[in-house]
Amino acid sequence: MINTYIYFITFVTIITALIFLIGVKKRDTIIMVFGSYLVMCGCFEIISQLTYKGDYNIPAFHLYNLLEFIFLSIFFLLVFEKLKDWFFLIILLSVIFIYYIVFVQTIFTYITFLKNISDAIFIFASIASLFKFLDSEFKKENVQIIKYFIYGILINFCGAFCIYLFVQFTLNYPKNIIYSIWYVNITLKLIAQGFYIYALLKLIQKDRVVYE
Amino acid sequence: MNESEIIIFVFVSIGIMVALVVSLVIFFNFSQKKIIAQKERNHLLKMNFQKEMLESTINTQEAERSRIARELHDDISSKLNIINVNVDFIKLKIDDQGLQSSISSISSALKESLERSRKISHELMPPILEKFGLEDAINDLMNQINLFGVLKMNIIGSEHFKNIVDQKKLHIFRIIQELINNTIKHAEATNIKIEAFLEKEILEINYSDDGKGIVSTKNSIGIGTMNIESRVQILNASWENIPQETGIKYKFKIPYA
Repeated sequence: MINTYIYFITFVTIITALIFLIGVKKRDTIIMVFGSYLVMCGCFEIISQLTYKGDYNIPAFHLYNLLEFIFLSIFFLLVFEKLKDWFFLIILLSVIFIYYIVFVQTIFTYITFLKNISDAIFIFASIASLFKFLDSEFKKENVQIIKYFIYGILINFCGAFCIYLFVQFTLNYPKNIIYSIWYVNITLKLIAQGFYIYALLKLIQKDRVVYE
Repeated sequence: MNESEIIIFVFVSIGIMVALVVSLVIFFNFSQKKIIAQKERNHLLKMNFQKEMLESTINTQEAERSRIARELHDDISSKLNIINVNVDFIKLKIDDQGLQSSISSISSALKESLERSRKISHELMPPILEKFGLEDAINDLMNQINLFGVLKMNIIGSEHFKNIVDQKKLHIFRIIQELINNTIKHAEATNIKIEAFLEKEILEINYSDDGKGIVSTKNSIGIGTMNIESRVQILNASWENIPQETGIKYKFKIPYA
């Protein structure tokens, strides 16, 4: 049953990436960065399915977290219009991330301390972005589309944050308990993908209206 | 904490986090809608204020034009007429040929000035518009244009202009006048066509010519076009430029009531 659910989320993630690749025309940088993140997620779903050997694919998991951190950091810095000022921080944190994964722990160790930090950062960034959008002076293009991406991020990362916070304990529990936690995680991921797909479809519809 | 307590804790914390996110999303959507509605209300108020200002400026302008036209017609023209009659009378009384030719040139200059002041007065506020209404004023405009044979103007459905009253007739007249002026000045056209018809209490006026058309860019919007735009706004009307192979075509939709 859990495998079917995992295949389903893989399928939905790939569909989301394909909707972006096929349907969305070249847009402003924020949309393109988030679209690239969705494509990256889709690619990693395929990679993880291909390399899955009945256990966790830890190196791929670390690489995914690093790329997710880079894409979403750029996305939020673009939302806050601070990319030029803070780009060095993304590079610095990425170097620390790699150093920590490779040298402090090993790439085969399932320590998610860094994931918890990045999840917390993105939750706060999402909330701050939503409040920024409420500012009537803030007139960034496609705010109505971007807000759905942020809803998705919030739903996805709030669940992930709680799950990964206790993963050191729960990892050793019986399979049925771990599965029940992953069901919740996948369900939240599905809701997030729903928001992403809805935003992408709105974007495609907007393009069509402009074209007509 | 034992195994089951941790699991309960994980689920409860996920539940709390999700509940917080859902509340935040609802709050954000609700607040955003409220802010957008408020912004729209402010925009509408601003637009209405601008429209009222524009209306009052144009009305003041028209009142001033009307006053100057009346002054020209009733005061200056009548005084010039009296002077002219007197000059003609003096001319009859004088035998000196040299003096008579000087008085003749004064008389012709006076007649020219009279004609000029009458023309300016009529341009400022056509008396026909005030006395007989929009239909006759536009027909008069057509007759004046057709008089020289260079440009031919044709009106279809002019009877729809008959019942238009007050400021509305003045604004419509000024719009048509401005369009005709543009055609004469820039279009090198040979024909002007005005079609008017009434549909569901909306008066639709189509103005077209067969000239060289207008190459319009954002920067090329002139005072005339702005004037038309202002009057269209005051009339609560709409207008659009319909692309043509040759010449121009404008469609106006004006509430009739």
